[in-house]
Amino acid sequence: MRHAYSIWFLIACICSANLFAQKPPLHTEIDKIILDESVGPVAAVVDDAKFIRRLSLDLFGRIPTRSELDQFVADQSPNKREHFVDQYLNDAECHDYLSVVLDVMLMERRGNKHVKSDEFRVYLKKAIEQDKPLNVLASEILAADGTDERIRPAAAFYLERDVEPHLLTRDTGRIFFGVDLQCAQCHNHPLIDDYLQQDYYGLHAFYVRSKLFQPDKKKPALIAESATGEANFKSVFTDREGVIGGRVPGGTELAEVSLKPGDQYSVMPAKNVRQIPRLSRLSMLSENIAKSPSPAFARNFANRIWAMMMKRGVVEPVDVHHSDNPPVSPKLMALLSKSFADGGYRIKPLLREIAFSNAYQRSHILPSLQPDLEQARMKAEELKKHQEKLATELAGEQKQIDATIEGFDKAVAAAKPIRAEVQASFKKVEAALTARTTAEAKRNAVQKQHDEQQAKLKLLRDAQAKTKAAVDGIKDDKDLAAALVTINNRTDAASKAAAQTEEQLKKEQAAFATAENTLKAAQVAADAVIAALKPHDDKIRTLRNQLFDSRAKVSSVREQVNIAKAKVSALESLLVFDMLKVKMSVENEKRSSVEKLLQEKTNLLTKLIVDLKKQQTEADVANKYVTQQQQVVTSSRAKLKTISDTASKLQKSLGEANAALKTLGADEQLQQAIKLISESKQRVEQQSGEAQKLVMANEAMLKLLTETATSVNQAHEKSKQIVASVEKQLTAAKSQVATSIQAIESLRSQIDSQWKSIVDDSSRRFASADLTHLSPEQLGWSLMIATGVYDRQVTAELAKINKAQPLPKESANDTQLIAQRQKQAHQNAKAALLGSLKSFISLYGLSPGEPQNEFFATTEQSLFVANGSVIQSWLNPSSGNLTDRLAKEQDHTVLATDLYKSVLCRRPTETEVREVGEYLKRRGEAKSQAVQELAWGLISSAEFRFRH
Amino acid sequence: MKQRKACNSDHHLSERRKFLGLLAGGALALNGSRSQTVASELKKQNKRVLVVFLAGGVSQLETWDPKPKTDTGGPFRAIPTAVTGVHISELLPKTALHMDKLSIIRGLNTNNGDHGKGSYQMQYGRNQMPGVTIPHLGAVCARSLERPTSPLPGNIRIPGGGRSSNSAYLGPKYGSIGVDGKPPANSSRHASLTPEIDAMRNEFRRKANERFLGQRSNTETEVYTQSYEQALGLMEKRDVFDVNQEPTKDHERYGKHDFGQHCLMARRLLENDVPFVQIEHRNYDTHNENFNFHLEQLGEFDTPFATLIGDLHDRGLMESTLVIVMSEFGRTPKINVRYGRDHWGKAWSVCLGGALVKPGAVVGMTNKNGTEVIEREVDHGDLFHTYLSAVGLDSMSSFDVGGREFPLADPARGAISELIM
Repeated sequence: MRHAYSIWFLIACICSANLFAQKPPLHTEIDKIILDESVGPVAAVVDDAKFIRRLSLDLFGRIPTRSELDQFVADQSPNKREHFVDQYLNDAECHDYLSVVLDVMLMERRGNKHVKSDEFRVYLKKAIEQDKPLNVLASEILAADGTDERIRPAAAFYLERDVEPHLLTRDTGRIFFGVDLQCAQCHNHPLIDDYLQQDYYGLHAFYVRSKLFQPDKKKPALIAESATGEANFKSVFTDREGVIGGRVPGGTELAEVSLKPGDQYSVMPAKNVRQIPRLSRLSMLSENIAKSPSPAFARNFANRIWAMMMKRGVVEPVDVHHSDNPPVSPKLMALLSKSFADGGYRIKPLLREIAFSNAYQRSHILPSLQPDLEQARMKAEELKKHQEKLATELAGEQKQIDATIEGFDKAVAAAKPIRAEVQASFKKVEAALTARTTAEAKRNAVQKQHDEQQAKLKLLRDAQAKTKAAVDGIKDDKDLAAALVTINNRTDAASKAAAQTEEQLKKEQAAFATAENTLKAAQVAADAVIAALKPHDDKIRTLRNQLFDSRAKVSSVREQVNIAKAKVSALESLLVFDMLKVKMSVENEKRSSVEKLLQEKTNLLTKLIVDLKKQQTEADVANKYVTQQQQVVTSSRAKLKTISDTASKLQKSLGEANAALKTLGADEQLQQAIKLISESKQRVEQQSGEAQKLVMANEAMLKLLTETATSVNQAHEKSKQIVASVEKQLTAAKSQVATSIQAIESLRSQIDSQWKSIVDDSSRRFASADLTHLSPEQLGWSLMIATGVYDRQVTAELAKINKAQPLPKESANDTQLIAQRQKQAHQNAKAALLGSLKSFISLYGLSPGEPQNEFFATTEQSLFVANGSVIQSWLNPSSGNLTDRLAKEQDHTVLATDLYKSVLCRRPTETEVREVGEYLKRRGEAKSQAVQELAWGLISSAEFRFRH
Repeated sequence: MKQRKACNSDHHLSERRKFLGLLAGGALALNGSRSQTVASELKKQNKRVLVVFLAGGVSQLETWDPKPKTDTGGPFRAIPTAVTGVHISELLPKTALHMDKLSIIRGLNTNNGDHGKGSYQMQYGRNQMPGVTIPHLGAVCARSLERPTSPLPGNIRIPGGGRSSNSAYLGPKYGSIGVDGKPPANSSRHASLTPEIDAMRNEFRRKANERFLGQRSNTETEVYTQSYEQALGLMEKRDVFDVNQEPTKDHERYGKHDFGQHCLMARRLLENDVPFVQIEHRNYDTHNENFNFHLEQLGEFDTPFATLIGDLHDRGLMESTLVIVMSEFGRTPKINVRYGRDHWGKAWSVCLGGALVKPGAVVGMTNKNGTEVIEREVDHGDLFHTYLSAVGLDSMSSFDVGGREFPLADPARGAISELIM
């Protein structure tokens, strides 16, 4: 069988060599597809420092050491990236790491129950070193029953899963074919259209006959297979029943000959015996993968290898291939699958091409460039139309399936009685077999008895003849004669018994012949029903395969619909993003215009208020004058009145005096008085005239003042109204500004989330790298590298080697020997630090048996890093480690540079150098502690924890 | 029927993220109209679950479904409870006073008499299937009822130590953590650091993160940076795990024996808003001397359990805490020659209450001598749906784990809806 593989492999290689000769290199094609299909901005290729961190993590499982980093960055040769990729891929450290990656992929951290993980890794490492075709490796693993000592570790896949058929069905589906069919075990998958119960049982058929065989716990466990047992299934939802032969996902159901009881085993089952069936379903599976791996196999592993480098599959998750979870680029997926298959299913060449691609080397930061959006708009429209067309097509195909199912159900029903007959005939054969065995045993027993009796008879007859001769010769010997009588009697008896047995023997022989005839008849009958069933089975298989084909077609259409949908959505994201940005600039303009208005109004109001205050003062003054004048008028009127009163009194007195004079006649005194009164009166009248004038003048003045005051007050009132209205305008403007700010905030958050989705989509389409977490191994080793624990261990190991075997003087310059010792020291160091690594795996790894690529973060992890003694001890300065170096460094720029290069594999920025300086300054004398704190700050940072 | 994933166009944000988003939206919405979704998210946010597991298989006849004066009933009487017409065994006199806060499901048929299988059925809500790993009820709750900002673990088991791997595809974060009265490992600040200096180095870490993640971040980086803040939070809350912080009076009320102490610890954790706590009381596998053993065991159970229910009620926590008393199976109605009862999964009971469970209800019924279910038969799958519904979850929904969808509970079963408010 192995021979067959290698010939096949050779052919594959020759074919692929021819193909490669005419084609551009794979990485060019990869980049072309990705650029052609990109829907948004594309990230730039990273700088050397980032590249070497990425490459080292992906191929060595750790960050580069400071010297590796410096060496790579300083290297001036052209094509140095390609050169380093090749160098890394051929390094033993890479083979070691890839064996860990493959082990985790295949075993998901199971192991050590029956096969040691280390041994399995050695087995895988050898395959990687030889670049063994992956289908050959897979078929070896899937055929391994544990009996072949040379490849005993290959049985780990089965044995560590306790050869549990359902578990093997699920994991073979997931790991080798990229389909997680678990939910299709009891019914068609409730959430995924493509996963049917018969897919599950087609794969299960390969395993339904296998079990763990270990009667003696002290001896290694093996896998034993039975010759009977079928993958029967019944949906718990619909009660639909079925049975199916072996079929790998995406393949066709394999035809299989029915073997009658008696022909089924080369080693019959018995207690503590490992039976061996003539027809092994495990071999069928393994041969299928070795000779003609299904497209699903190639696609699955091409996708997984791609994901090893890119940290994301073209189909993601890598074990959920189906039409509702289509590849992000079917073209890319097809290209990778084909190249992988054409290249003979070899891992390293594919890894190499991927590492060469720009896609691998792109930054995780996306530039905010905008592509031609008009084109995007058109493309989206076109895709939408295409989608509608596909939907119609899909409905048609679905009808086709329904028709086929009907025919299929009929065929299954028709085969059912014949299948029952086959079972009945097998039972008859089995019964006949038992009967024949019984008859044979009986016949053999009688035959044995017969043979013994014949032998005895012969002895007696011999004795009889010899005794008779003696009696005849020696006469009158009574004793002798008596003996002859005895012998004669015995012989007669024996002869009679023999005759009887002979008779019985004939009967038993006849019975055996009958039994054999019955068996033959039963076998002939069985062959006849087997033959009768065959056309039915063939028909069922054909129909089932037709059904699989139709379903594949439906899936493919559905896949196209989904891809179109995803692309439309990505394009729309861009358009929405653009629209939001336009809205944003409009809103920003609006904001600045309302803000300007607000400013103007504010200024105006300030001015108006100043004026208003002035007017207020004026009005106050005017009003005050009026009041004052009113008082003046009042007082002058009062004075006038007093004078008038006096005048009238004088008038009255004068009148009385004149009347008295008339009566009295010329009284001198009286005349004198009249004269005086007249004079007074004249004087008063004069005064009154003056007062009158004054009053009038005052009144005129008052009028004037009142008029002025009225006009000033009116003006003031008017100004007040203006201010109120401006204040109102101001409030409105303020609220407009607030609205605008709110709108801008909302737009900003929409733009952010839209941008995030564009960025995510760009990573999904490999137009930018993603931020992905380091695996437990990557994290553990990287921490040991960063803190210098690893280097210290290497130095110690090297010293040990050189002490045990001092370097001869003449070899002091033997670079090869020195390099060899260096390498050995590295290996020893890794072995010595393996214990430390295990604590990372238990803390950062997922449970055995679960997919291992999920990210999770727990407080235990953070507490372990924050307060745990392991990390603390690694951070303690001790000869030559990171913090020791840093503590001794006087120049904080040099210190910061060493810190950032060692931990984050890059130079610090100016700001970072300054911050380091400031931190050290704050910590003053405690420099040794300060550098530990700084190193801790970086090893606990996201930049260290993630790949980017 | 099919719940389609929005294929590649959609980002499979974690539930947590979605929740945070809703919460952020909720803060705004609270002023005006509060959306239905936000309301329901908030409704489930405050819920938590306590499981009291009676290991070995407690007898339904000596607890929740007594059948006195029948051939199967045994020597104990049934006593009235706080709910008129509902009687339970006289072995639970104190619990009987709190039955107005609890309900009984009497029609349980799990059809199994194996300890391991039964224990799995009841705690995982499905039959154990080869090659299939599903999360424990505690992990489902820890993930679904996650408090995004709480530093405390979401799934705690008393007693025990370390993190167990019973969270399957949900990841170790939701696996149960065994608590034995000591604070979690590494939760005290390293001796070489003062709080001020620890704050300084954390400030340095945060600055580095802000710079790096300002360029680009994702859910994973958010969860990662958050985990350091949670670690700091946990260091502040170490005392939560120290039951001796509870007053002496309460230690006396609950009892100094293990189960009493565990009940008190459970109260402490629930008060600190841990979403899922499980405690255990052992020794119910009474193939011999069933009645003496139940007398003794339930005697120890009754006081602290009743005290706990009373306290949860008095402190207003019962409205938001689902309490379940379960076992791997019940015990045979038939009394064997050693006065024992054997394994029995055909007709038994579970007691539960709090959160959205209607109080004082009895659902399902067994026949006169308890040998079969005659009304509203349910199984462990239905119960699992019921538990989730009782804490406001949609038990028919699915988890999205890295693009894979996993139903929360067995899609072929459903909640006992008449028991949910």
